[in-house]
Amino acid sequence: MEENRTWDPDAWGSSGEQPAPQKARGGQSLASVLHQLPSAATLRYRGPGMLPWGTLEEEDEDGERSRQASAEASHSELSHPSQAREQVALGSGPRTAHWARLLPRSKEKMKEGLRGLQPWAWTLKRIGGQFGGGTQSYFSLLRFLLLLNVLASVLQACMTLLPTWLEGAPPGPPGPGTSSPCGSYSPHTQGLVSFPTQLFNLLSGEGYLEWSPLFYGFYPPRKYLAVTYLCSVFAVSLICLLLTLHRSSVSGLKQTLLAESGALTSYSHQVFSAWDFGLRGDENVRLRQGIILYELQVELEEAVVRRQAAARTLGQQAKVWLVRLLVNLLVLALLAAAFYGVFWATGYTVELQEMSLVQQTPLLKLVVNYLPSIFISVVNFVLPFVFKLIAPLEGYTRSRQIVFILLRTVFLRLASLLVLLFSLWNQITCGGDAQAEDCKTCGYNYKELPVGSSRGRRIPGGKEELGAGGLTSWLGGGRSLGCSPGVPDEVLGLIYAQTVVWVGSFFCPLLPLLNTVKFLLLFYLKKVTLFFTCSPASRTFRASTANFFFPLVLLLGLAISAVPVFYSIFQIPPSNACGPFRGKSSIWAQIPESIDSLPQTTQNFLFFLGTQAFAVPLLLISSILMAYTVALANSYGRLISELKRQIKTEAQNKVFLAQRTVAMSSAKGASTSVSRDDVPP
Amino acid sequence: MGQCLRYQMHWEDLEEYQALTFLTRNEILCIHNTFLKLCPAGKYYKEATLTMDQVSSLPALRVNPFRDRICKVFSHDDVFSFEDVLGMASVFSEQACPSLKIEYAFRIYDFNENGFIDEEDLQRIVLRLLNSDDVSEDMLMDLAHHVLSESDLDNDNMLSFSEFEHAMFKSPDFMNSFRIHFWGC
Repeated sequence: MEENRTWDPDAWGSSGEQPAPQKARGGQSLASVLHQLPSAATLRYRGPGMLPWGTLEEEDEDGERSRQASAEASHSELSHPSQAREQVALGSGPRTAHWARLLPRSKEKMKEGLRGLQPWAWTLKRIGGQFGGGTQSYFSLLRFLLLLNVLASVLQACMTLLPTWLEGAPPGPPGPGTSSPCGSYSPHTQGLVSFPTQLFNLLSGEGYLEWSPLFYGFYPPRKYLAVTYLCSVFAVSLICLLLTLHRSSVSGLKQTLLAESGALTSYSHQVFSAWDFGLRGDENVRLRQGIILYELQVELEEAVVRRQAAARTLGQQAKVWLVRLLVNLLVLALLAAAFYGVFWATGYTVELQEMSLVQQTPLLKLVVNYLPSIFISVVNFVLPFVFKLIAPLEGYTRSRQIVFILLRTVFLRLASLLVLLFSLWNQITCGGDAQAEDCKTCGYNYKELPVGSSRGRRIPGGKEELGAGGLTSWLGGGRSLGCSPGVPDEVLGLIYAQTVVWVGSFFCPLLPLLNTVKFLLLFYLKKVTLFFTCSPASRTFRASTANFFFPLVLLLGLAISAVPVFYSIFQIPPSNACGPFRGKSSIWAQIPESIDSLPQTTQNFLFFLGTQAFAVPLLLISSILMAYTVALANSYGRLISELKRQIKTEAQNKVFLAQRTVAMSSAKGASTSVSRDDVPP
Repeated sequence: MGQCLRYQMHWEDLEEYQALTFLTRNEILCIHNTFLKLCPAGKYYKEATLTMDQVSSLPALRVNPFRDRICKVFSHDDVFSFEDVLGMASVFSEQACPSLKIEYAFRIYDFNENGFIDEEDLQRIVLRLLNSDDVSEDMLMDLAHHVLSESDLDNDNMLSFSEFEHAMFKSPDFMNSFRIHFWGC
């Protein structure tokens, strides 16, 4: 089959002459036959007056014939770059009416304008060109989170700050002489306060900051304010959910899902998409070459590992699975130890706060306040390192190891946050036991509250975590100044910070605003570090994985942050001394009360929405739709594999027919040349 | 380094180029500037041509390991006219459609221009991607073999255009990497 194609061309540096192919005299070569196929028409056309690409410099009539044939065949299908755009836009020939060109062009202009509105678009392009897609996806994610925070802060400001001031200035904190013991609370310290104390108050959110719009306790118990406060939470979560879903579907989930099992075509992708054509600068080039070499070696190694895994005997399999089980148990043990440590740290903090020595020294008080956060940050720093060390023992391929490490790190971070909240809940509600001594009077542990920690009224995780999270991420930024950013670690840090902010923003409505400022500063800091100090990542993270994996983790963070917020809305009785929900049995109780004040028909409608008569048909219809979509997807998958099989068969048919043509024409040529040879010259 | 006659581009020409290529206004003007800086003195830009060396030494292409192939594919008669340069920038622009990029990528990667990407082409591609001293013969052959076994559907030991297209459509990174942003602005 290959005998007609064994010439030896040389591309760059040759004098341009191609040695004549070893084809049978009088017949055509296989390649030239295949070139005349209509499917290769667009590929051959190189512009007017040019030899179609792929033809050889043949002197004899066959060359002329094939050239002419291919030129004619290809004039009908143009793929010069200047024509391709028209074809794409209009789907018809190059001659169309002027007005028919205007409409798509105006649409293009609008899209272009919208794309240019996005801030830092040019910066992101530059970063992507110089440092690769992985780093660009980090900055793109940062910009997206910035957008989320800006929207959230605007919404919350509108829905909480505006109504507060609309009905007159809010009152000050309740005085110390109120009747019930649950109601007394005095945030302001009496007399002059020294400067260091002011500074520490700023950092820990006590003193004058406690009674400010920053915290939940400030808002007066007005009816409309209560409703809008609650609705702002739901609105913000809904918007964040929609935007995150949009981003994850737009930027890569669809592509990644459509691409059937990436393991099957990874070599082709790595060879053909390895080089980033936008790279400039010799330094970047050398690094890129290093990265490509590393990735190719990893691929080959993985192939070897996979071959070994396939060749394992039963005994070896059992051993490997035993080792994996042990490693997972070790990981679980480490995680459990970490969680217990967080739990213990929170309890110890409260104990420490009651010591008089701590109360005297503001610095110690600050440290003690931040103790759980410090503990969590240390754990988040040490444990992933341990995970990386033990991962090679499991005997997976390297890409799978990375996935496992990432999953464990994500789980560690999100779960430690949950554990912190759980321990705080434990403190506040006396372990859920409403009849315990401390909690009986007011429904929650009021004794904790006036001791200057004011933790009962807000999830202090919000402010302190923000502070400590901010500190550690800046420290983490300092780590990457030496430059080997582990883009995944940085991105997980971002998502973790955002989750914390979501949790805290119910009790500190202005928290998204603070977070916006923080992310803005972070963006510029990272950019400066990247361009001036840093050499690019020595190990790139593929942009496609980044676009798929990180929005997913963001969604997970959103879901996890919803749990404590909704739990506190529905279950925990709000404090009686401050906040817009004082005096109610639960925060959610505000809504039924407001509904009662609406006209009767609206009430009936809203109650109907909550009954079974509405929910069950809705559930049925959703299940039917889901089943239909799944069936559709399955049938498309089957269609695709069927079509692929057909393509294979057609390609084989085509090669077979071309070979027959060549064989027949060479036989004909041989017979004519034989007859020609008989004639004397 | 001469300078073309400094004509401002006519508005109609700009509109036409915008319609014919995937480039934005700013990109077209930027390329126009770059072209004017490089072309020989005293000529109208539509008639001037650049040599392949001149285009290879543009900052966007200077460090590209495939710059010779890029110049070969996009030039006509070994020189670049202004529209050739625009065509090249259009294929590499962000807004170009995937099928156009895949087609030109196939032409670029086909070193011996026989219409297929065979083993030899693959080995040359890998050699260009890495520094040649780091690569052993075995690794080259191994890689070429792996690529062919993945994407060669009709078992002829070469990648035809449709096989290449099929493989690249599934690659989520291809569009991101086959892109050049800055042409000297």
